[in-house]
Amino acid sequence: MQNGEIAFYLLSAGAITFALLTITRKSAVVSALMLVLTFCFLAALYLTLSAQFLAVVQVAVYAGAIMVLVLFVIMLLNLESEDIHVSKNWKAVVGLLAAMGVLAQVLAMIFMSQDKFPKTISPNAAILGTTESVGRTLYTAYSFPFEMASLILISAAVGAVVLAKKRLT
Amino acid sequence: MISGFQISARDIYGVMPLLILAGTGLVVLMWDAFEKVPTRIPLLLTVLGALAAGATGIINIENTGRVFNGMILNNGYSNFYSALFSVAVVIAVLLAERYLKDEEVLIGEYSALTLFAACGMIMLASGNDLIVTFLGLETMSIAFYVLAGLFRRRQESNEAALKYFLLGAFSTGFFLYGIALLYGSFGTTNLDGITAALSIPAKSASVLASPMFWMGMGMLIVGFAFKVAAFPFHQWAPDVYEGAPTVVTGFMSTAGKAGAFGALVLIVNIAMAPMTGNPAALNKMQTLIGVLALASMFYGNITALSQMNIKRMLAYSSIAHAGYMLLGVAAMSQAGATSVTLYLTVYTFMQMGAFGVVGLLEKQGGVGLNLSDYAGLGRRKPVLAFVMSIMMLSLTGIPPFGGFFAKYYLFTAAIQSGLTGYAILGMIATLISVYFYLRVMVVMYFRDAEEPALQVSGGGGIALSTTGNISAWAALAIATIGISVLGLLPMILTNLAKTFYLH
Repeated sequence: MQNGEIAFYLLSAGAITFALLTITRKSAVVSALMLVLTFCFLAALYLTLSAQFLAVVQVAVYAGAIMVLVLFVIMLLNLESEDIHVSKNWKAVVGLLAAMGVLAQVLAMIFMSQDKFPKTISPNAAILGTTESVGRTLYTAYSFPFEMASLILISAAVGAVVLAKKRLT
Repeated sequence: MISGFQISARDIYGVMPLLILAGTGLVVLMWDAFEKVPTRIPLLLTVLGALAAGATGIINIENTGRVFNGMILNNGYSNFYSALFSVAVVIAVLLAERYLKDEEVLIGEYSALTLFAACGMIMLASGNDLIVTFLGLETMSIAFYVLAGLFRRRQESNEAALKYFLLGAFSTGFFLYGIALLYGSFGTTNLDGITAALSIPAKSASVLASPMFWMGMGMLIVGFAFKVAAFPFHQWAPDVYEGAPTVVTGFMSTAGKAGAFGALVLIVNIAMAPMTGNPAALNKMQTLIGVLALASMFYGNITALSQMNIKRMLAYSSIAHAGYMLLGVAAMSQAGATSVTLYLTVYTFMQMGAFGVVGLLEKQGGVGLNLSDYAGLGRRKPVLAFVMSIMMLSLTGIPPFGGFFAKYYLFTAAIQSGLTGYAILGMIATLISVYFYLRVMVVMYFRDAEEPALQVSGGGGIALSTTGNISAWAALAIATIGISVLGLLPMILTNLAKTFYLH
């Protein structure tokens, strides 16, 4: 096994472990902190693929900013005191079976399409992953989607105000 | 690598309808923020903006080519859909004036969100890159989530918004994973790139034989099926359509579907057209979409039979209509694409017209939505009953209204692509729908009201008044004229559509 492969398996094992911990912890705060660790492992995975910019953004935005928001929401709602009730009826069983079915399909698809995946990382990858080249691409070739993302943000902002404002009229 | 693409005036001009709608949305929002007393100006601004956007679309309808580095289509197809969405915005806003006033919702917020949703739809129907398609779907959906919950004091409205939001977020996951897998299969997210890859026999054979492509396509179709409320992914639709404000339901069950289908047709019927060279793969794809289509048609029509709430009935029947249109997608031909476009246009007019009448008859707090409330309407409100009858006849597919030719072209396209069995089953499903659509007419004309509930305006309820309601009548007139013209002269659209796919 090459160094890269060992790193991949270690990092993904870490990401999966903490993702599982995220959804199995009783305390919402612990879950949130486990999610931070999951994001950090994912960021490290991006680094092994030479996507430096993406890795930094992953940590800064997801593990940083968004998780702070999540923690704030948890504190404001004071979820700590409540027991999270998990229903164990036939619906949960059917849901689990369906999820397992989809997982099996995805895994089968990955194993059957192995010849489609590139074996090595392109030598250009290190250049493509820099902030400069990501920025250049965003502002030239992908300028339209980049600008249109602002439309999504304003819809969401207006929506939040419309749904949450105090005065109804 | 780093591209040397630079934005030029041509790029900006190519997305003009979208820019006008987005700009109008921002102006309306700002106006709303500084307005002291509610006036009609936001409404007028929205209508003018949408009309300008629609006119730009019509003027540009003979354009060909791509703008923004091949990301956006600027041809007959994209411009026609831009015009259609603009008209839908006009109808939606005009219908909403009185309705929202009764419920004390500001028209400005509603208009702005409707305009932003329409921007998303334009991105969908002119997106030549799966990334643009995704952004369009999200822009549209986020505006819809909020619009569904606009009546904050009504529990059903809140429930609708939350349900739609949670399930919608989930379906977005499927959609994105599908895009990722298709990117893995083709090495590009550009639709022209996908067409080119499928046109090379060796590359096409290897892609179409790989499970990655089918998994990606399957996930993408799950994402779309959710947005158009096709059968196994429809569970949200009845509750959301019933709980959302009636005018919003009308807009999102028509224009929302049109946006999603506009993108699906671009991907399946146009970009993947070279698949016809591979009969095995073509058959697989047609079965995949065709089965969804049949399941939606039968499920929607059979469940609609037992609905007594008119909004729920229209919601279930809209699942069936999604099924008919999926059949046009399953044809995987240009004829199929044209028939879906025609169907969407007619469907937008007739379904919005039907919801418009329902909204006019509805009283504060969601009263007056049961079928029994429509008894004797033919005598009390002859014009409204007449308009509703036209909508019902058109939705059933009875000539001379638009619904007939729309269905005719759909089934013809399916038969031309060898899907005769599907088309026959589709016609049987249509026959089922005759019962519940015509029942509305029977109740309106041949049954007397048990209690004159809708007639008396007392307490909190406001019986509809024909005065001071010009905007709603204008909207209904647009819808009625639309389906009548398309019913008598469908060739206007089908001939125009022939030039859509040249480039």
